Amino acid sequence: MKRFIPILFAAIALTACEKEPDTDKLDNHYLVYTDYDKGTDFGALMTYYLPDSILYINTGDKKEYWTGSAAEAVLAEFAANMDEHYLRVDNIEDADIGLQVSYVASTYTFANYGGNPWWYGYPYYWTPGYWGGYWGGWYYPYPIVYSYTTGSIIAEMVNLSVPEEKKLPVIWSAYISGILNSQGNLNLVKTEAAIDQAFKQTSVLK
Amino acid sequence: MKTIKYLAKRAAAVLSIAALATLPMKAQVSNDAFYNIDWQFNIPLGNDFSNHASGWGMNFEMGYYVTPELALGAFLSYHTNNEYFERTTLHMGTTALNTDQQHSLFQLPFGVLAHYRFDYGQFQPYVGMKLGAAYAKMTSDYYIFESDKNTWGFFASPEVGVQFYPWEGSMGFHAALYYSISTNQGSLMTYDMNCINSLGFRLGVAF
Repeated sequence: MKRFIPILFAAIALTACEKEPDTDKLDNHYLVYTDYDKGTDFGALMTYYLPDSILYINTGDKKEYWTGSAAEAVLAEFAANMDEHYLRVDNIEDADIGLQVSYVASTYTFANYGGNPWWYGYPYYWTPGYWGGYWGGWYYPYPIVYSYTTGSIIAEMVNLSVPEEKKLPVIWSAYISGILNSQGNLNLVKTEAAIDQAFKQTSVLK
Repeated sequence: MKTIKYLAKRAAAVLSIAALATLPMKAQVSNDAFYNIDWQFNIPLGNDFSNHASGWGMNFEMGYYVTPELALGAFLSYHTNNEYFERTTLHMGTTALNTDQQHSLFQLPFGVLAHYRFDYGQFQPYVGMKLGAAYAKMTSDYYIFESDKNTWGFFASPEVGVQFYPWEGSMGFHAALYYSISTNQGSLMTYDMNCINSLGFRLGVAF
């Protein structure tokens, strides 16, 4: 049987068997993931409030907001899509919906705050207090994706019309990634297209 | 780049096997036993998950002739079929995902085999049947993420082939055409797979 040992070795060499798919064929475009609360009547909500800044989630422990022309363009795209369904108001108190937009500059933060829900305890994330009420925290009424990546945008609609003694529910969320260019900067054209796609693929907003 | 590395690795392995042919070896282990190592080409039939034909597979089998015509033995093979899916929006309940994908279906059946040969000389045509279990993994790669689903099923594969020993006292060659069916079922994202049907052929060496 010794003469078959080389054959055996050759066979073993060949058994690195599974051919990995060629991911170079992927179009290297954006990824858009959305989800919503099926218990919410989106048609019954009339108005929305959009803050003028984007929360910038980084490794630092200080509250940062992303401002400037690119941030304004991103917010304008969200507003344009929201305007097709709801009336924008200038006062939070008049809004049924709050739309909070965040930019994930580092996933390190999420690794450190990996509880369930993962953002509880993160001191400078969007808080119910921002929306001016006395809600006892906020929550997702549906399962969410945990693996956010650097260079992604997270948008969440909170339902401000619920009684304040309850927790503030997130009724719609969008996770947008793959929007950086090869230099690691935001590709605004891709980003705006991805934001449009997020609304387009949400059936309750059509 | 990965494809080039993979082909280079595989070519090196095949050359190693070819080099063995130059060694002083006896034709067969015995008159009653055979060992085959094959490259295989697989064409999925009616499978909506990953339907592109490919040559990413191998087959290993051995048998013992319990009568001059009938051999019983064992086999293990594997194969990967990939297919690119254009960008689309997948709706899964309240969730929606817009992306393009690279699907991959990896099959690894193993079990027992039977060969019935019609000649005992240099040219040994045969019909055969393989029966066993099949592991299959459905994989979808999209952006930087991957989702997969492992499945198991019953496997059956009739085949026709030939073992050819052109030189006395040396190794020979093996060729076969096969059809296979396995009962693997699985769902991944919005894609369902009910059974795996394939056609294919194998080319290799026989000992």
